[in-house]
Amino acid sequence: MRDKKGKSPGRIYRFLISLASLVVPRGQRADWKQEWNAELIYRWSLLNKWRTLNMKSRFDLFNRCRGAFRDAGLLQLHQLREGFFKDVQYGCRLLIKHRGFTVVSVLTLALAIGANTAIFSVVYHLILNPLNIKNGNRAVYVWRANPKQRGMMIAPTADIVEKWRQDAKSFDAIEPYTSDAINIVGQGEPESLAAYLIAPTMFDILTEMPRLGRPFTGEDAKPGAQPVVIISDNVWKSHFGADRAVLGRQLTTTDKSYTIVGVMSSKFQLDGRHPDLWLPLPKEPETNTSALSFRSSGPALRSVVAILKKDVSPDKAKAELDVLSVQAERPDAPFKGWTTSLVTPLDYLGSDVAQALYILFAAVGFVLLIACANVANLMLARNTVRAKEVAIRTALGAARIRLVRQLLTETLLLAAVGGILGVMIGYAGLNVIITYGKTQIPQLAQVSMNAVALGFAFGISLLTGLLCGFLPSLNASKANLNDILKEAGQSASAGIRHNRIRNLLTIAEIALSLVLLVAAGLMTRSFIRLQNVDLGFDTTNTISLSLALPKSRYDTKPQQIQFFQQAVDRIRHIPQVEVAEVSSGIPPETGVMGGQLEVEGRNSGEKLPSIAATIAGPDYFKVTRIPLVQGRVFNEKDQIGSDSVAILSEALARQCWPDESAVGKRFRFSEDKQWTTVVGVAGTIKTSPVGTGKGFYVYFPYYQSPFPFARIIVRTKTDPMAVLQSLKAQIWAVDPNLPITSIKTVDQMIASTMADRQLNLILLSIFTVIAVVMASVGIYGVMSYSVSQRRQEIGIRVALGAQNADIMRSILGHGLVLTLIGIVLGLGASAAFSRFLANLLFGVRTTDATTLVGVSGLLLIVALSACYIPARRATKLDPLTALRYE
Amino acid sequence: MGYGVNLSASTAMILQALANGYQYGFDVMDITGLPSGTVYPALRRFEEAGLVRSKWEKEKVAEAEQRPPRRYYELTKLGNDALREAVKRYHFVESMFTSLNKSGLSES
Repeated sequence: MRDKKGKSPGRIYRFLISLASLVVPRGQRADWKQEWNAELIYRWSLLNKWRTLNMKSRFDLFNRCRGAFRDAGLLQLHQLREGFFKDVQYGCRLLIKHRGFTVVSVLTLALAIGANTAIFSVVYHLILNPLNIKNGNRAVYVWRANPKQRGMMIAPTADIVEKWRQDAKSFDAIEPYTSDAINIVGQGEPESLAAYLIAPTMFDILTEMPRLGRPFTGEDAKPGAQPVVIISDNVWKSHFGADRAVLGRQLTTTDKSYTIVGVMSSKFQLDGRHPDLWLPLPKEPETNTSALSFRSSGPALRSVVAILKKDVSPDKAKAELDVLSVQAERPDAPFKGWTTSLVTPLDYLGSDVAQALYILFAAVGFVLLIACANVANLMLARNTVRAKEVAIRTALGAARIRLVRQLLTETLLLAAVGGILGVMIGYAGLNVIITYGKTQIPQLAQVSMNAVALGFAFGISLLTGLLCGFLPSLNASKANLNDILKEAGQSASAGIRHNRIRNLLTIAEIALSLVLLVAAGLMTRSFIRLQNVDLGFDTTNTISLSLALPKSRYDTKPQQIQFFQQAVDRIRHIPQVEVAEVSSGIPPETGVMGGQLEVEGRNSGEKLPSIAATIAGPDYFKVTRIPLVQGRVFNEKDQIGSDSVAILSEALARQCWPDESAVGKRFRFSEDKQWTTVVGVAGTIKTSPVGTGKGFYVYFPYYQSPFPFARIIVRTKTDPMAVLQSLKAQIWAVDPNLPITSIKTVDQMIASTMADRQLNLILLSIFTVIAVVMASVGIYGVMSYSVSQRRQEIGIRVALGAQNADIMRSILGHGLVLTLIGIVLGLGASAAFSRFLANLLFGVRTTDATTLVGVSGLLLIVALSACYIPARRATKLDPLTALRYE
Repeated sequence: MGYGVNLSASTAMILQALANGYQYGFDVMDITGLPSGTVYPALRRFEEAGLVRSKWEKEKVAEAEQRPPRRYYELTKLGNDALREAVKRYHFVESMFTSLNKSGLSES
């Protein structure tokens, strides 16, 4: 620039222009700078000439320089936009051209992204945001816990809950609810529907509203109000054919008729259950009919869900509720001295389920990493082919950042397509998981793929694109024209650097798949062990039919006894029936909660176990085939009014009377007044193969302490389901209006105690198979590529007399080395990862040698098979063609 | 008819200024009163859309005045069409310049 002293504008303006010019795209920078500088110099000289170079004009020039920044910024933006479109266009063209590469990469990414999105949806709904409640992250269930007995909890009584609702300051809302079974008549077979009684205010905290009709109002809960009901989506479809005119229709039970005012959204659940009906919870607490208090009818109990205030700690809230409970408690109240316990929805779900979910989440994370490594590997292979193009572009002056951007755009495109396809795969997969898993994990029914999950899918797609594109593109852009052209001439030693990265990626894939294989292997072995556990009772050909005798017709104990005696008697006469009996439960669904035991003549302060009690008729042990070890079973003399008797499990008997026979000894529950005499000792059972309980069970004679909620348990000579209709017919012959609330074979019950493990196992196995397939595709790719690179060398070897076996050994040897390194690293990694599995395993240690050796061997075979194809191809090479190959 | 740019009032003003012979960026700013952050980006857009073309001043002229050559812009045929179209919408633009002395600040 040719300025002359006096004509040059101040330094500040030129500095500003120079600064702004840095933003201008390189190609236009010089012209842009000259244009601005020329204008400034010209204007400066004019102002000088006219002698008007004052503060005002200087400020005006300064302002114009400010505008230069906008000009420069817009130019750069324009360039970026153009560049991006060009990159996308170019990327699309390339992806269409290399169809094989595109299809394999997209499918790999889609599978991984799909699996991640599906599992994320489950984790999100079950762990991160488990309730359909506003501010659900502050929601807790409130229970009363026995401070002397860890884990023993009961719902608070209605009067305590009322006190909490009136006076507690730590909560935004405290909402009681309780469940009940409603017997529906007048629509075919009598039927029992599960109902939740909720306070009308519950709707204030729910995120879900009835999909049809209205929520409850305060009026609905007042005494004397017209009975109303909100039906579930399921009942609406199954009983009313999804008729929109259902509102206002009647639902008739044995004693009442309810007007239907709403249909609840299908997603709604409260504590993992999806009841059939919702009823308004009446304000006046009724006496309890809950199964929990079979020995005495106590006050009504209420489950409680509450929302903590924003800045209140759970400890502070618990302390407040404890104080209020003491104030509200009547002197004669049962469960006195129990403290409040706030249970988060996650604890409620069960730590096992949560842990299993985290493990699945980690597993799909591994699958994603393997997919990234695979695509990166493919990219590297393709980039080698494109090395010349890239090198020439660099030599012609393309900026390195520009090339990296171009290559990254390609992987991002792949990831975007993979992501879209992945969301579809994830959606389908999620539906399969829900359909299959919701019977075992009821909370699954509310899981859906929402905006958060889609955001997650978008996020991981972006990350995946960057992850699998970064290394290859950086590597490619480093390429030097000289080297490339040199390498082209001597391809035997070509791409050494590329090969190193590709080998490393393959090793990583193998190591990651081995971690998954080990996990799946351990879970499988554990599952097989579980199925062979001796439970202490015979599960074959036994069925249980649950009944709930309505209070209106079976209020007294003799009425209840009479019904069951008649029904069982009729069932015993069915020819296919071996033996039948009444009981409160059948393992694995053992009966009702007992309480804390007190042994006669022992210090009452002594800590004794709390135990599960079953009320059973005399033939209970014949139906379940639990052996009687000592003493006698119940008989017809054990009836109301006679001395209270019981049978204990062997484990419990030994715990209470370690050195002597339990028969003839007496005990009682801490709430009871009278003592009970032990008349027999039965074999100890496990309620579930995974049960960690100590096997403490007590049995009371049904005809001594009858109970309106009981089951008829039947052992049949053939498949019990084949006899089911006759069983029902005999029950209805006694009472045609009595619904059967639940029908299950014992085998089904056992299966369901393990079903969540089975689901985990299946999912983990699927992910493992995907991982292993991807890893073998990876190693296949590396080996094929290496064979094609070594063509010349192989040709020369063959020409010099190398045998097929030598060539084969050389190629397989390379694959073997990669696989073995991967396996060693994988075993190390799985030692770290398997620790988290320990709690979910049964009878198998995380270091189980059989599993480790087995899966390593399996992976080795799979990997070597993947190497075999390229190796075989190498042996088929014609030396002449190979030598001619450039 | 589309001209590849948005025919706003400022577009009309800048095109009219060019038609009236104010061909340098700073002159266009003086005559229209628009800031540099509007005028220059507009000129770049016009050039890309083919409404104007830019040229560098003759070296000799600049050398004689001992300063670097300036870049000036002139309307193309398409630019003239766009101006006519724009004036139909913003009548004031045409009359804006009639009262001004064409020589203005430009002395080149």
